Amino acid sequence: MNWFDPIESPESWRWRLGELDLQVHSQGAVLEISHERVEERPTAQVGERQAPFEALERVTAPGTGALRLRPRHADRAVIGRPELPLTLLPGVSLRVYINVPAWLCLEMEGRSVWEAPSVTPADTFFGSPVDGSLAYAMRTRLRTDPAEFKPAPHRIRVPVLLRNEGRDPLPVHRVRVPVPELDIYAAADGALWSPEVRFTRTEAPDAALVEVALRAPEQALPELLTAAREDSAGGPKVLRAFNSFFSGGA
Amino acid sequence: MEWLQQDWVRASGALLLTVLLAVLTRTVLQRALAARMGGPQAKPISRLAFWVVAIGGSAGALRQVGFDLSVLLGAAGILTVAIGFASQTSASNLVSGLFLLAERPFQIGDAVRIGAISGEVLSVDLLSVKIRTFDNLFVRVPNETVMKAEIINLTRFPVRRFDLVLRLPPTPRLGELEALLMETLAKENVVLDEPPPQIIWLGTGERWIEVQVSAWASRQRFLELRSRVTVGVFMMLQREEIQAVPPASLGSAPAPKL
Repeated sequence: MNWFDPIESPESWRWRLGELDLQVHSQGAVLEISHERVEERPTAQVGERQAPFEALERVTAPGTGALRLRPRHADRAVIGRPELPLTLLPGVSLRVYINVPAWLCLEMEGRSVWEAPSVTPADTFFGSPVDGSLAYAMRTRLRTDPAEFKPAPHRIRVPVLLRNEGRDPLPVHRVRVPVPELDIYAAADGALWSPEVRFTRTEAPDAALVEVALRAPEQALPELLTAAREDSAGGPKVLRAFNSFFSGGA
Repeated sequence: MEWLQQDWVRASGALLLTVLLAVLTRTVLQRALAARMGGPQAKPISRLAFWVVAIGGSAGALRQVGFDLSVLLGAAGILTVAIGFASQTSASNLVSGLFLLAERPFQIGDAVRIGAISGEVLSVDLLSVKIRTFDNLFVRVPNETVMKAEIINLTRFPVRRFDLVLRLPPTPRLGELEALLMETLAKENVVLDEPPPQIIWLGTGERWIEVQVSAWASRQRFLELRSRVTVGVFMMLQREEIQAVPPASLGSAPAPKL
């Protein structure tokens, strides 16, 4: 059983996942939810509820049907900052993988009742202080082989294809991954995946082409697990500001 | 069809057309301006346009029935001078209001500081700006005063920086102290990763060195940033047994009454 599978008898459950220890107790018309944050764990555990934690809240239950903890992407873009500098030479493309924390959405009868990040990321800002946007920050090793990832069932793997079609080398200091626009799929081993995001630096000095693949990555099963929060509006998007997606420096 | 030639019929027709034209002008202007500058700002301008068209059209209608407008204009002139003397302040506020609507230094809902008053803008009208202060008082600021005052819009941009200036006793462990300050900022969830926090050594005195600790947060969390950074830094200094001289200032701009 995967941690995100529906639970038919929703009386009393506990999920230990990422930094979150979450307990749910159904009291008929009301769901009692208690949670606490601990060190990030490499495994997911689903079991019986124990004594509630200090952080306790109650939510009206939309029914008495199946309970499910569903993975979702963050509500803002994620800025991946490579731990090691990466420079893309002209005419070269490179596929890397990043591992973003999932948001955990508690659902009852398909309706969302509570949501929290599995790992709380730091806030960051992308763009100029006048018209940029808030995002979540994360360090990434920009791995080229997904097999190198340590087990983390609460994280979602996102393939990122970087292409440099410009004339100059492209230093990649930060990559802005539009995770709210990404669907989530599960692999046979329970790992979570999102479709590939392709960034193409074009000849224009300040433009990037960003495209989100429309189907599941080859590593995952084709059935959609969670739809994207935001519509990616289909085809590729040309962005005026190249720096909106890569950054040439801190 | 002779009745159509009668003055009162033509005057009534002109009056009716005037009303229709005035309403049309107000509606079209309201829609056109609302798209560009927002509904509340567009309202006074479209209302003014309505009255200009209505008064002009009415004057034309009166002329149709044989009314001598020169008498009316003469009287209006005298009245205007009299009213002008009596309402210089209002006229000044009105003109300032139009400039404010055109310049748009803030919008309804923005948090602003106008002179000594800080608060949320409730409305921008032709004569005054209405503000709700952060301690929930209603303040009416005449537009003339707003135009003359320095306006600081606290919520125009999505992120804000907080500067904490400290005077510390001289120490040879500057690098270590800088690392401790950065570590303190990194622990605070409210501090943005980008733009990065900064430690700036400002200068030295006889018995102190001055350092500025700067950190950014989203504008919604700015107050939390101020508190968390200040408490975090002073707790770290206490832990390290460093006696700070009271801060020279709390920010690059005067501290708002928030």
